Parts: sequence; C-alpha cells; structure tokens
Amino acid sequence: MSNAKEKIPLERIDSNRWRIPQHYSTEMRVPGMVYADDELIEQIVQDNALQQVANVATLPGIVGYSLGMPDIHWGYGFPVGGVAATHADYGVVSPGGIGFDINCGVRLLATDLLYDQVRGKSDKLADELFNNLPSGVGGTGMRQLSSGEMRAVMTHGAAWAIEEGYGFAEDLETTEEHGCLAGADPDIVSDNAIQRGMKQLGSLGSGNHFAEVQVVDHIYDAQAASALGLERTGQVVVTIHCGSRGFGHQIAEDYIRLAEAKQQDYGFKLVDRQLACLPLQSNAGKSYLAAMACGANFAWANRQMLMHGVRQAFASVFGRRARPKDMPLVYDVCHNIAKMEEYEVDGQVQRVCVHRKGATRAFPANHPAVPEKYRAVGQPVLIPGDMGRYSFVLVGAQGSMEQSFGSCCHGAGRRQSRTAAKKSISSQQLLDHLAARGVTVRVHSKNLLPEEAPQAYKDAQQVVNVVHNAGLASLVARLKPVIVVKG
Amino acid sequence: MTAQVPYEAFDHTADIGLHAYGSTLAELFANAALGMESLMVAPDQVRPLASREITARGHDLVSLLVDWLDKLIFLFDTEFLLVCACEIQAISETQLTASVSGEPYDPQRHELSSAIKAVTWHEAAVERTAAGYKATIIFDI
Repeated sequence: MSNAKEKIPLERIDSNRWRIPQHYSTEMRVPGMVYADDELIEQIVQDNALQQVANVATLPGIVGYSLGMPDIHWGYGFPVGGVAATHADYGVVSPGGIGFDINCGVRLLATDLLYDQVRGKSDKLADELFNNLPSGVGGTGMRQLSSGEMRAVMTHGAAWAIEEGYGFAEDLETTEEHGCLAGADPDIVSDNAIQRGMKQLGSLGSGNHFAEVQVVDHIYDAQAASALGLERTGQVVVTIHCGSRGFGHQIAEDYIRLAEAKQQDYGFKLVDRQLACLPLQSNAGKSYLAAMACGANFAWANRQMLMHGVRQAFASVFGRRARPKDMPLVYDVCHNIAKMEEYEVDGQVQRVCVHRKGATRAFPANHPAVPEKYRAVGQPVLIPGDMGRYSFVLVGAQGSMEQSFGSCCHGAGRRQSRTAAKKSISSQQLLDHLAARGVTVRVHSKNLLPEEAPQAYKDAQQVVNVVHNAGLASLVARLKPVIVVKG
Repeated sequence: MTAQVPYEAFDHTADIGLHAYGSTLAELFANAALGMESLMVAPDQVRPLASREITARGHDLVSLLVDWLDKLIFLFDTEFLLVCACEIQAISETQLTASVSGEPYDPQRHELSSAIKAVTWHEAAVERTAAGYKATIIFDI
C-alpha cells in the first residue's frame, strides 16, 4: 500500500487529534478526526486506514466527524477502530460498519484470588480452562441447539444462557444492554445463519479471540478501581474476548449482499462496495438492525456460557463453588455494534445511529445507562492488549459524549499483516518468549499463533494514553497476562 | 510468454487478499475458489473424497464471485469441508453451477494456515485482462 500521508492531508489539532479536512474529497460530507499521538500517527499512515476514514465520511446522513480511534488500522469499508454516527431520520446504517463479527466484545471477571495462590497451579488451571472452553477451527460449542433454542437465544441473549444454568441473574446487571438488545427478530435471520450458529454456541473460535487469566499490575485510580471490584495489585482477573461466531458472520454477509444489490435503487454511489448501506427509515434498514440484534444476543449468550466455563474451571482447581460472589462479572462491552443513541450535534440534541467498528462505548459518570453501582465513576471500558503485553481497564469520561459519540478505542490495533507476523517469528520462538514472561499458553492451532504475536500489534499502552489524554475515558488499572487460552 | 499463475495472495493488515486469474470466466471462478481454499490448507493435503453441487447467484460478476465464495465458506463452517477440486459446469454474469470435491478438515492431517471467516467486498473486482480475467478479493480471517 502506498504511504497515504503523502496523499491525505492531516491537520494536527493538538497532541491527541488529527483532522482530515472535508475538502480532501468532494464526496466527503463531514471531516475526519483521528485520535493519535505523534508516534502512533506514523504507524497509522503505513496502511490504508486514513483513506477508509475519509471513505466513511461519504455515508449519507453522517453527522459530526468520521472518527478514527488510536488503535485504527485498515479494515474493509470501515477502518477497524472507526466510529460514525448517522442521523436517525435521514441517515443510513452500513452493516460493514458493524462488521462480520457482530457484537465481538470483551468481558472481565474479578476474583478474590491473588497471583501467589494461582501461580503454583497455573498449568492445572490452564488445562482446565482449555478443556472447558471449546476453541479452534473445526470445533463445536458447548451446546448443540435446536431451532427452537436458537430462537430463544436470538430474542433473550445472555438471559437464555442464565436460565439454562450458565451463570446468575446478577451477571446481567453488569453487561452492556443487560445482555440483550431489544428489537431482535428471528424471522428475518436466514436459515444459513441459523445452521452456522446451532453448533457454535459456547465456543471461543480462533484468530484473535481468547480467554486470559491476568493479574492487576498497576492501579491508576484507586477509587474507581475499588468501585469496579479491582482492589489491589496482584489480584487475579479473567478476560474473555469473543463474538457471535459464524452466526454473526452469516447475518452480516446476508445483509451486506442485500444492501449492495439495492444501492442503485436508493441512488447511493459508493466509494467502496463494503460501505453498502440502507436508509435507517427503510424496511431493509430496520430489518438489518433487527437481525443485528439477533447476532448481538447470540454473542452475549456465548460470552455468558464461556464465563460459566471459566468459573467452573476455577471452582474445580481451587475447590470452591462457581459463584458470582467469588468471581463477579465486572463488565461486558461490545466493540462491533450499532446503537441508537442521542448526542448534541451543532447545538441540537439529535438521535443517531452510532456505528462502532472496533470501538467501545465509554459512557461517563451519571449517565443513566451505566449500572447503578458504577454510576459515580462511569462505565467500565475493557481494552485487551496483545498476548505478551498489558490489557487495560478504563471508565468512560465526559469527553466521549462531547467528542466521539460516546466511544473510544477497543484494543491494541494491528500494525503488521498476518503474513509479515508469521515471517517475523516462529510458533516455538513465540511460545518461548511468552514463557520467559511468565505466560502459560494453551492453543489449538500452534501455527496460527505467530499471527497474534505482540509485535503484530501497536502498543496498547500508547493507545489508551491517547484516549485518556483526550478525555474520552480515564485509566483505572493495568492488567498483565499469566495464562492465555486460544483457538 | 510465461504461463499465468492460477492465483496469488497479497498482504492486508488484519486479513488476507487474493488475486486469481483465468483465461475464461469458468477458469477464473474455479481458481478463485481453489486459491481461497489454499489460504486455509495446502491443496496437496486435501483428498477429493466427497462432492457437493453448488449454485451461486449475483447481479454482476463481483456479486456472483462473492456469493460463490460465501457458499464455500458456509460448507467449511457447517461441514468443515475443505475443497481441492472445482468443476464449473455453467456460468453467466448472474449465475453459476458447479461441482466441488474435497474432504472434512482433520486437525491431524491438515495443517491450517488461516481460518477464513468471510468474503469482503472491499476492493473486490473482476476485470478483463490481455490473457483473460483477473479477480481480486479480500477475506476476513
């Protein structure tokens, strides 16, 4: 890819923000705004991400800015790390702006254990987790579902899983949307999607999905950390990163194809077919959101079941029961989703469809959607880093409401292609490197591991520093991995 | 004049791209499918033990290509079927019928290079060339 910096004008607004002026292209309806410091922007211009920020700015009905978070990288249509809000009355929804993995997201559990209690049992715990959490290509999930059960999953989300014995009602209080997006309509989800989903519920999948046992390594804000149940350094926590598996992928494929075939009917001229979009007020647009909700609910049921597998693994290894009292769910966030929300744009409160494509909601203190027990500090924001380095917990800040449609970054963000990553390190070298850092790894497909090597990713610390300094979210704690389970 | 390769991969930050070539549309679409499958498992590791009939549809060649490849991904995700041979029986701008053969993924024998999860429309293209046709497609892995 050619160096986009030569072609795309970037205006430095401050130490955290760069604007792509609207005049860069006659098709842009709004300017672009990329959150990055001077070092990260040098990495960001290495691939096509900025062009994609500019492309998203062409979407009908987009308001404010086409946004890029500091972990941004080249995606398809939308960049990964992109945020775009479109007006509810005259704007569009672009299924590619949610992505194939609908409601890919992250959940964090706290435990009452310290690392010293876990250290001697790392291998046993790693094995137990690997057994409990189905993963890898060509595998099936914890449960094979009937079509009736699939309907219930689509309409009830995490609550279905809890009713089936995978967790507890209180888990829903600390899940985004209580683990179920309203408006799901199973009748408009294809049989193909249902076929893919039926065998995959309760599985991690592969690629960059994982379950990680981590240790609280540093606390930035003791008051906020304590409110979230992160009491001290050395405390053991667990992160799960996973989405809607083949089910969400098929829904996305079906609706992107539908949208792409209808662009001429709507009179849309796309700069990229992957940006194919549907008017929010059209039946097709409403259908997409109803199908997206089905996908999102499947992902919440999936993460709920995986969390249950994690609790059971700890129960088995440490001789106790798998209860939320000992292993509470701190929070669960989506990072591939569209939400109908309200923001002040140009002095007026407007209802918009916020597309978060590799971006996390970051509501501040006192926002009514924040769980009551967190309302004084803000919504937890969970930012997984790469395998060998830190992950982060933040809370949403007021700046996100003013600047970024309630959004911030979602992870470290790739900076190296999978091919380049595989050339730069072998599986064994990577396993040795991780072992030297005290990380125990269990993985199904060893030869896929180098693609996820730390050097393939940006430095998550740099990424979260930018969102913290820009006022989108505030740092609470840093987590260090000690066990990684991957497909 | 050197012979045209049937397909070749190209780099993308998070995913992977493919260029496929063919002197006819049928050859192009067969090579695009085999190219995609080769990104997952080397073709010489897959035996033609089972076959499936596939019909794909679209409103133009790009949407036809996406639908065709989507159907192969569906086969892999639901039956874990890897494909090593394709016979395009009929093809037009809007429809194709084909017979594909392969075998189920076996972690003991098949070395997986990537797991392709979806076909994207980003930069997707089917173009005429001096030697016939060229397709470009980027996959989500």
